[in-house]
Amino acid sequence: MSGAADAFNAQVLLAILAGVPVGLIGGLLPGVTGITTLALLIPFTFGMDPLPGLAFLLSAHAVIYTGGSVTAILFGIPGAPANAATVTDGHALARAGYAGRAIGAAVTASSLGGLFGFAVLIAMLPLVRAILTYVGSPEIFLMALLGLVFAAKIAGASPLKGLIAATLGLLLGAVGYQSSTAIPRFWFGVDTLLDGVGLVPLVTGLFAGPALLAMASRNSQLSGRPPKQIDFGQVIHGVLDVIKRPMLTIRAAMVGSGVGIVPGIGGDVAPFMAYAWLAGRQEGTSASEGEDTEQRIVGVIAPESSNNAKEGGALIPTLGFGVPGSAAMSVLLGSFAIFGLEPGPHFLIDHANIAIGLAFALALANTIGGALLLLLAVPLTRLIYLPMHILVPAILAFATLGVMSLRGSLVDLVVAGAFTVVGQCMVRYGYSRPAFILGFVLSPLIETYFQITMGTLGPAFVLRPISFVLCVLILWRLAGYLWWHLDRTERTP
Amino acid sequence: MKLTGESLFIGAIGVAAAAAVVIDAAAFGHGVRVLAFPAAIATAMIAMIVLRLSGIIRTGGGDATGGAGHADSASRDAMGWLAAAFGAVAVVGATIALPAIALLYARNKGAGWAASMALSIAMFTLVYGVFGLLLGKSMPSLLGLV
Repeated sequence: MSGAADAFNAQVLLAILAGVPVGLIGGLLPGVTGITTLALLIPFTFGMDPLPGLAFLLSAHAVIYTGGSVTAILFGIPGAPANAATVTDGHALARAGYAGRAIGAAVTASSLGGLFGFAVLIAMLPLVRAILTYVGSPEIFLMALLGLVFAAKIAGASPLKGLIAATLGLLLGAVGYQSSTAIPRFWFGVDTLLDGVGLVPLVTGLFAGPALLAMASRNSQLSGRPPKQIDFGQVIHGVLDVIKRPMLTIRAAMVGSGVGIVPGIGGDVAPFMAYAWLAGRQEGTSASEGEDTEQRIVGVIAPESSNNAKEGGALIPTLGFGVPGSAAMSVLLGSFAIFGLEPGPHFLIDHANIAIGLAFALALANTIGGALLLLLAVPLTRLIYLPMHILVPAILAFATLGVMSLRGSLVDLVVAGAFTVVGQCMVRYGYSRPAFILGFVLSPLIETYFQITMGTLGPAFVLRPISFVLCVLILWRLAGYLWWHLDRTERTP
Repeated sequence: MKLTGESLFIGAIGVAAAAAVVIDAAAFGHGVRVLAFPAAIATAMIAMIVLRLSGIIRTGGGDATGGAGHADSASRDAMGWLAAAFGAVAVVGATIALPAIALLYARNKGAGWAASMALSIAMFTLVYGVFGLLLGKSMPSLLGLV
């Protein structure tokens, strides 16, 4: 349990306390998603020890959806994409004069959902660790490959596009010194590329760049005004609404954790699933105002509880197998290299204390974030009224500083600019950026373990029991994609 | 049948990937041990890009397999303009920049960046020609000149 003790040392607590407000603000600002916030924050962890650095990133990410729920309720605009399910009932409650109650319910459900995710994570880590004792090089290679194959399919998007994005990431990850031979590849005489493409310029370009372009093109702040004061009695009422419905909160959190555990990066569907299952209602059904308000409160609690719970679930495959369970986890995995850590099954065996410390950081961040937001919801929402012509250059300067702080190289800035164009094209044409990042992060791992596997076992490695199961899963998934592709192609006139 | 922004985007990615592997092998002398993994990945990616391009060509630019959906007319115009701009770059590159870069490369033997630029531009021009063949259009029509 040294990991738990590590999580409560002053350095880590300070990192969590710094990360939570940043995450809340990132969540409040529409357009600044969880991944964008992570991308902007990674450079600020340089020089930190692994646990405080990762705890800073994780705590900022953990409360993004908590902050995003306030924007969704007050303005009808989801602060983060996963808050979209909260808009329907949350904003309706705000228009009906129950903004405080909706915020109280949303923030409490988010925090409790996050704590549920933490409990699931802590319960599962020993089990995953036991499985990992049977894992060797072939299984590591195949698990990473399986993660990529799963990551290719985000709800609603074409798997073919996801696979193209993932392979592009794999290829980009091959730039720089090859780990097994120490021979540099694809550097074309540019010294900065000898160490490969930096994660920070890449992630900044892919995620922050297009987000800033979208914000700049909107060029105006939100039109509606939130209430100047939210009745604190209403907020307490909202908190009690959640406490009175423990099973609803738990069931929604179970949906979130379950979706989060599944390798791949479709975690944003969790709140929609929870909403549809637990709060869905038939069109045109009439209800009295009181009944309607109660139904809408359920429609706020269900998605918000699942939203934060999915991050705990998503950490299980991320920390256990090096396979991200949500889109943001692929960026978090990428940041491991900054701290000299290798993502993959060895992580949980070699650095169990960091994994447990991160689980506790998740719990602390959810608790602190919830309390902070209940107290400061209204003052914080004033940030949304910063005009875009002030907000965009400020974030741009922040991003540039982060990119340049890595190596002080202008090449990194050029790389960030180039990947802003690539990121914008990927957004426009529906190519998965998280799958790209995942391919980039896993590229050295896949290549190295494939070479070790072929060198020691040869092609016969597929006959090992776990490898065989993993191969079947990969082929089954790929066959599913092929069937999906052929089916869609046939239906198109 | 129109050349869409998406086809240009993934076409350029495919060409860049192929060019990177070819240049690394030709200009830096890397062999199978170093390039086997990226070459295999690039081949798989190009195969998938060709599959996607065939879908785009068959549907006349529509999105047969889900994803971003149809662009509005303004963005289609913008993409048409972008396509023409890319075409112009390719033509200028082939006729003016390529000899200049080749000359520069000859003077600074082994300058990898010059070789990469030359080959990338050559590949870009080539792929434009292939696109033209695939779409049954000439280079001027791809550029929107006729």
